[in-house]
Amino acid sequence: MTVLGSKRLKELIYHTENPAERLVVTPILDLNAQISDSSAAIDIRLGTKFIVPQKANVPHIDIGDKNFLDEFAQSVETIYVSYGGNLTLHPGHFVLGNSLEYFRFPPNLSGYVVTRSSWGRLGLVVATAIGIHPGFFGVLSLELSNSGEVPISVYPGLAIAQVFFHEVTAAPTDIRAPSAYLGATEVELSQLTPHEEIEKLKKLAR
Amino acid sequence: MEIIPKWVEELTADALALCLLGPAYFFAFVYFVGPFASMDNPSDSHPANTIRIEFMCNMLLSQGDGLAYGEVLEETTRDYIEQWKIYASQSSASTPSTELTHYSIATQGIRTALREIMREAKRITRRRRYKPGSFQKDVPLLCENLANGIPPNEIMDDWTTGQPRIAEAEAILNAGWVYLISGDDRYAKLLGVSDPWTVTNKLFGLVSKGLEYAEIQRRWEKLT
Repeated sequence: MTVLGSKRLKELIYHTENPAERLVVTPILDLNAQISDSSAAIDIRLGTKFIVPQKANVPHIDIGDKNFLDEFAQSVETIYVSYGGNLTLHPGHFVLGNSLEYFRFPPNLSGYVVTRSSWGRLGLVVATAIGIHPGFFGVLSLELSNSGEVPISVYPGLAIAQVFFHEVTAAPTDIRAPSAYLGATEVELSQLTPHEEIEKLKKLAR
Repeated sequence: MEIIPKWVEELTADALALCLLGPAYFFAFVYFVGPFASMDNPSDSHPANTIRIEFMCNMLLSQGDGLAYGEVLEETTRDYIEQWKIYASQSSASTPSTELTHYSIATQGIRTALREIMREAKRITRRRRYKPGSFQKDVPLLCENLANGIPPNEIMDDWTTGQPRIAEAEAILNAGWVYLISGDDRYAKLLGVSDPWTVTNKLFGLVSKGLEYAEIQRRWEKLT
């Protein structure tokens, strides 16, 4: 599995005119810091919008309940934290956020989002659904949680995670796979709809 | 009679917005007022929307005055403006109504002031006017961004340099509207969505993102 180095990443972002082949990562505010010469990843910053579940309003999440998405949507709070402000994550606290940067992957690249080690050592987990498929475009969803034992403040605009890029072999030349999160420009709630599959599974048991 | 001074204020605001923002202001105006039925109805505070639309179309399409976008617009966009102009000029607001006599008189009166309003708006904004040349240079490139699902916050004039420049807010807004009107379906295909409402909402989100990013980049540059 080939991991792209900084030189190749810069070529794909800044010297690839054909949009179908270009890797888009924008805005890169500090190029030398975010794609340092010695790295094989791009550092990404935390965005300003967060979806915060209100625990007191959710008895439990049952994805088998057809109304669960609506009920869950009503039980969360969307908050905006300005640059310079901070959001405190208490131990066990889970919050949805997104990357400040917007991405567009060409059909022959996939990626993985990983917590920056300095944050990880404090107990912060930035992403759990870490895979990014070829052709994806939008801001990256970040599932922030504090797995440590003391509260941690996170600051919008700070580099909090990094994305590694991999070449995809035998990649399709044109990817137009509909995805619920394609083209997202801000943090979005889960759009999980597994009801048909649950019904099938029930029939398996008969 | 308080009507005419208030109408002059409104039309002056329209003219200033066109000078500062270019066609984007017109596109936004017709997008938001177009669905309303009361296009021909004036009020004490506002002239009929059709009068405002006709005025703005004339401003955008008129030649030789330093604000004419007519020649730099793509055919589809120019046709769109011309269709609105025809619609507005044939509206009932253009023909005096016996029931609304004072409005009819005010409408006739305001028409004589339109040229002066246009001239004054151009004079006031001469240093900050969004010029057709800038529109022509940047908007097509930013429309390509949108077609490819890319926020319109940066423009790469020369790919060999690898040095993008930050797009002006006016260019971003104009690109958003021009792309919407153009009927180009590449962005919809990329999303895998056929519902126009969803595509438009996604497009608005992408344009908003472009504005946000360009502003962040400008502020960041000032800090470094």
